[in-house]
Amino acid sequence: MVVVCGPSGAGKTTLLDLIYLSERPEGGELFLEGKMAPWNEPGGFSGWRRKIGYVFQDQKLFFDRTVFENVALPFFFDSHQPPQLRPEVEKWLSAVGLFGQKEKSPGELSLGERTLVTLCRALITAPPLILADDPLSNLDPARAEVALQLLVKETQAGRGIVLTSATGSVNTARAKFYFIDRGQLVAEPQKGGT
Amino acid sequence: MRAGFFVKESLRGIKREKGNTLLSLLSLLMAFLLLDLYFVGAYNLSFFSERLEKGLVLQAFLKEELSDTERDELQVRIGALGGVAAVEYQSADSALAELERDLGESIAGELSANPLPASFTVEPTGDRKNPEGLAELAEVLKALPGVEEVLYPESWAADLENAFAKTERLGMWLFIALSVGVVLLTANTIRLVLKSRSQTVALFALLGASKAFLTLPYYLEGIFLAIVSALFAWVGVAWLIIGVIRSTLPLALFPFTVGLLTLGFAVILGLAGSFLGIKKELKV
Repeated sequence: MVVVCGPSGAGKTTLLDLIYLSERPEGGELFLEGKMAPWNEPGGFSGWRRKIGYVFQDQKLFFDRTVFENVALPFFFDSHQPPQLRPEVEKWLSAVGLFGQKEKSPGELSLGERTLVTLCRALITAPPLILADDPLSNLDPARAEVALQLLVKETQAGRGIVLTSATGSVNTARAKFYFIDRGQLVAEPQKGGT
Repeated sequence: MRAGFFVKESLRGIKREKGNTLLSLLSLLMAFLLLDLYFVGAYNLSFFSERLEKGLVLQAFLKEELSDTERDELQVRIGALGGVAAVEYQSADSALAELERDLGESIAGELSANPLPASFTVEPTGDRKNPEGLAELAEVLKALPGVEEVLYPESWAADLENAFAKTERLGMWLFIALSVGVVLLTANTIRLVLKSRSQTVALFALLGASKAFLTLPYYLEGIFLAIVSALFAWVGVAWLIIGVIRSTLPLALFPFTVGLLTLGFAVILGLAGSFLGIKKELKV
């Protein structure tokens, strides 16, 4: 797990957007699972993005769909769906304590709950890389701990995680911390900590 | 499961753009009504032309001095000619009886002798039922020994062919214009639906949906619009022909298979309309 810390405007979201191909870099190359970013490949973006679970800071949920439908959505983008979609979605919603809210619209949930729905949507297809844009800042300490433990579990399962944090208060020894400001690395990587 | 998702997405689009969808359905219904009426017209025209063509026969009048044996030989000879479907003999007496039947009064008593000659009614094969074919056959018949004169509806055949050709051309243009109209109407509806759902589509693309995934619901929606309006148009035309027109005009509704073909055609038009609408509006 990589934690990118820095103040507001440091370029944390931009860095994640670059990895997600939402922003085009001025230089350099991007590789995922040994493959170069398909900048000029027609339809290449969708394949690349399906390998990444993104916890957007502004959630990007569909308010005209239920929580369940929002979480299940990435499965429909892929032709390889699990045979039992419902139990899979319910498992993730239970893990973040939102099973009882599955038929609600995200509009009926608190900001923290919406972040957790977005987290479930990012994790459900078990992508090789997870990008999480300051997901813990909207959560109360107990929920933040649940979310962090889920991400740590994903790391243990071999998935890469890039998590950003404005405060740097990410309590795990399994992460490597980078500090950036105005798009530049300002401190050498540090292992673990708060 | 994926199919269910796409159907749900299409219905979501229709629900979201209820007003526009209803307007499009009504416009498409009108277009399909006209298309179906064209099909009914074309079907009845071919039916009518078949009946008219049955009347396209040649009358070969025979020389008076012809013996019965010579007449029988001539009938066999004409029957063996290329382009002849049937030959029927009519004696002078039977011609006079037919004339009296047509006039509704007996004229035999007023005539010293029967002025009508015996004749053969020659029915040409289908490929000869045109002005050129009839003229050629008439020439062949005229050249036969024992034949005095050959009559056939020369100008009628030409006028009939001309009228059918004109109607067919007009119908074809109408058909093309209506088909283009259906495609453009569907394209516009899909374009409006896509416009209203641009945020959803953009978010789907951001989350990794492929272009095929993004477009499929809108193709389904176009097909749905076309099929529903074509079905209603079909029912409407059936009601119009069977319930209203048939009491005054002996019109036939096109057969069920043609109805199914119009539905198949509606699917193609719906697909074409969706393709156009998606191409215009969706930039991913």
